[in-house]
Amino acid sequence: MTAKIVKRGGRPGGLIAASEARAGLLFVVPYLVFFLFLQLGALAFAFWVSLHHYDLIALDNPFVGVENYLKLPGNHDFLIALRNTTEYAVVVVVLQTIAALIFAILLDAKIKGRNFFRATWYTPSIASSAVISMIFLWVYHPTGLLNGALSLVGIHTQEAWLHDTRFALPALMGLNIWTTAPTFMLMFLAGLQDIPKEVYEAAQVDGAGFLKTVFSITLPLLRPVIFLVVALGIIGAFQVFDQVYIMTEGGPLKATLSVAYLIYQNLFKDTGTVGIACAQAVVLGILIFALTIISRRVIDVKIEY
Amino acid sequence: MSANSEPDAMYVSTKLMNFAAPAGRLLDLGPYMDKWGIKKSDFVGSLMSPWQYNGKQYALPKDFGDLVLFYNKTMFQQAGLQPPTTWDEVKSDAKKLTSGGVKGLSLPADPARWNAVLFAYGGKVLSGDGKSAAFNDSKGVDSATFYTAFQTQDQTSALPDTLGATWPGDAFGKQKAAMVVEGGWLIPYMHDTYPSVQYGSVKLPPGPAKQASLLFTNGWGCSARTKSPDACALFVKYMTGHDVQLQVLQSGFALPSRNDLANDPAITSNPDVKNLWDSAKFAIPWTFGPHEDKVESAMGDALTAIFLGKKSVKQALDDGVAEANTALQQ
Repeated sequence: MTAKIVKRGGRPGGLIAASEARAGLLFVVPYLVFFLFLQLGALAFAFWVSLHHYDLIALDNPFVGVENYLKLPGNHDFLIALRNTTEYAVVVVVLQTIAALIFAILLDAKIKGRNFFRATWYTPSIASSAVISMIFLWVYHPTGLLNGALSLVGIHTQEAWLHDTRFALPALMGLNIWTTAPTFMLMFLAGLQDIPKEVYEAAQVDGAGFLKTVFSITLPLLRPVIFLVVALGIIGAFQVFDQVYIMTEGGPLKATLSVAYLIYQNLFKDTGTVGIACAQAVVLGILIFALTIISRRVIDVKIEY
Repeated sequence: MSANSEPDAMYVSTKLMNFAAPAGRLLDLGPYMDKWGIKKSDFVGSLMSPWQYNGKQYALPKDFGDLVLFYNKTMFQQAGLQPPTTWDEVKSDAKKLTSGGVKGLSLPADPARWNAVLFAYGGKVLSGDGKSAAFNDSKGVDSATFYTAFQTQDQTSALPDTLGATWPGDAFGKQKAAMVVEGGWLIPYMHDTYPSVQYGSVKLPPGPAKQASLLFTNGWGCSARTKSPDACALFVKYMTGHDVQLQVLQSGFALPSRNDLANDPAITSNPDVKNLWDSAKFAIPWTFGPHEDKVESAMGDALTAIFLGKKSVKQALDDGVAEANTALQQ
């Protein structure tokens, strides 16, 4: 290598930069192909379909412009799904972020059996959401674990949680918080390691207590991680599908109908509504994108030491 | 099919039939039936109409399942009851059989059970032209009132979930429900899962308008774009022919579509299978146009709302019809 650089003489820097750029490009080619065709391509295709009256079976799918979009505000199911999903996202994102943060701070402290607790608390995140959903079908069953646990504390009920319009959506929220909070706890733990110990020591010297340190040092310095967790939480919550698909199919009485599940229904359960489904998907995508940008504005401000 | 790469021969559901046939995607089997000697009269009459559109035959029935009333023999004997022959008897028997955690019936919030009652009341799911839903007329309201009153008024029926079961057949097997309205699939299920439970069956009793049942069927058809229509028609002929249909019968899960198996011992020697077979004469096929799933979920939501006490029967059915119409008129 050294010999080569010497030989090129005059402008070694530029040549190396150019060849590095080429190599770099070469390295990202697999991902770039994947991104262009399977992500950007699919996105563009969905948008194109959303401008048509699209039927999976018909030979002719006429162009209808923005008609599918104009129909959305009058689409009863879409409004219900939007309301359910928003409700779901707000509760899930807020609670899972707080839970993840509390557990991260606790498990960052020097307590006995720390590794055991870390591993145990993380376990729910390892299983696939389909498996967790199947398990929770039995947890929420009238003769299931939840009612069993309640009867131990003297509350005897045969409540079918997933078949009650009041409890079905909260039941899915609880399941999702339980599953995803540990993943975010891991991110917070990593974030906590990055905070310089000196800052805490200085605070101790100044006489700050535990809570004071948490609110004045830990939280402000964790802001980039909090943003990441909230943004990923929003994206995940607005796309909620698996649990709905496996556990409730949007019921009872559309109490758990989510936008993603409605899109699926319009795509595969009915015919002739593919264009509408794609319009809904585009709106959902824009919504998630906008919310992510907003949360970045609010949370991820520049850190000043 | 959307990718224009469908196979020559296809398993056709009523839903596929209802959007593929009007779209010209299925082969009209008529000429090939004449050519290869397939007679319409070979098949159970009520199974043919789901596969007809504008007078043409687009598929042939591959099997069917319909509904009868299954009852728990032991529980009926202990209560000193005879199997019911009228809906009034079902109602009074259900009262006598309900005690503690056991219900007389388990009727789900499933349109595929209520519709059997709806038809017996002379009601319809869709209007004649199939362009709008029609299950909220007086017959719809009366039948839904009757169907849901077991649970909402008499408290002699409960949803399977409430009984700690996954479906009515499961509640029946666990002996938490003395009667269920189910199809032939219950027979192998009971044999495998609850072999010790003694049960019998009766045909669904006549309603105010007529005797009815609900029938599910699937068919075999060919793509309109097939390059070898004769070979495909012969395949359909084989799959719906005597030999394959005998295997269908012997599998025990579904009933064969052919009249020439009516006297097979698998039917005549088993009273439950015989009841199922005979019910096909008055059963009405489950086929509700290209938006079948939306129509089904609209009816299901209406029933759920009634069961949960969220809406009156009339209100629930009106809302259900409005919901179904949104899909039908899209």
